Amino acid sequence: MSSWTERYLAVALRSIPDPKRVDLEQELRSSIADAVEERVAAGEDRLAAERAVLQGLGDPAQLAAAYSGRPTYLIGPELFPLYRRFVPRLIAVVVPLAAVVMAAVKLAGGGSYSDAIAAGISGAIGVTIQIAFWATVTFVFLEWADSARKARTEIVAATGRWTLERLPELSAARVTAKESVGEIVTVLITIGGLLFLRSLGTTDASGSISTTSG
Amino acid sequence: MHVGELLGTHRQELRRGTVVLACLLALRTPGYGYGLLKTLDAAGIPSDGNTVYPLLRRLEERGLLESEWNTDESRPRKFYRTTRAGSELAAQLLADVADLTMSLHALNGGIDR
Repeated sequence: MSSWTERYLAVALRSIPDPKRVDLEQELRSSIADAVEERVAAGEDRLAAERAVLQGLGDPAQLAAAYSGRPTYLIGPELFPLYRRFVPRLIAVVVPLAAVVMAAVKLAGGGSYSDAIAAGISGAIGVTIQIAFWATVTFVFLEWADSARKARTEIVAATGRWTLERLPELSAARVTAKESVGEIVTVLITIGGLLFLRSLGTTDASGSISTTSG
Repeated sequence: MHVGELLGTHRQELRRGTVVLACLLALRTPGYGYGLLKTLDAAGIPSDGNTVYPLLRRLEERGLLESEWNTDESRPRKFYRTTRAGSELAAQLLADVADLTMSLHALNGGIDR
């Protein structure tokens, strides 16, 4: 079995680019050896000393992150406000549209109202998951990819700079049309969903649903 | 959270910013990784290797430290030395810390009275 130090170094240096790695490995090795030697000189068993020193250095993945300057998070504080604003809004605008379209397609294809509502709901869930996933992947890429560093700065500069004007009005009257449409449709879908769930419980409910939604 | 725990957390936060200064000051006399840890410890500024070792690299990249391998002894060691720019920065930071300490004491005096 390879020594603890070798195993530790392998993990700590795995993500360090080549030109830096050799130098870093030598330095880390000598730092670890220095610490071990001191403990041994003080009368400690060599293996116990090695283990204690490595334990003290902590998770090698953390150490590697500190060396490489890579973040230890998926989306950092710079991008997070934009992410937090953008994803819910995108979902609020796109999902209701998608749900309505899917329900309409089902109806046009000869499906019943409850089938259409079911198609709308499952479509809404699917599209929500898709949007959340791909938006998150996009943001993580912006955060992590070295090549995206410039794009990230520009995006944050273009969209992320906070100004007083961004404060929403206290009255609901100033909510933009887009937002309110999204909100209304979302509410409708929710109501439709609730009715649909109730219709699952009773056999004669499908008729009442078709009058409600139609 | 216990008071002891809180003290630990806040103390760590207080010290985080001063490690850079401590390294720049200590390395005006050239030193290597583990030796620097001992120096800092002896000076009453205990620091962890996993903080200090990567920090040395970053300070070197910023031109505040310079390094050289010493292969004279049995084990090769990378020695770091504070550059002129590093010394100037350290002097400025040290003055800031002194100011801050004075301000805090003044504030403390104001409450006592």
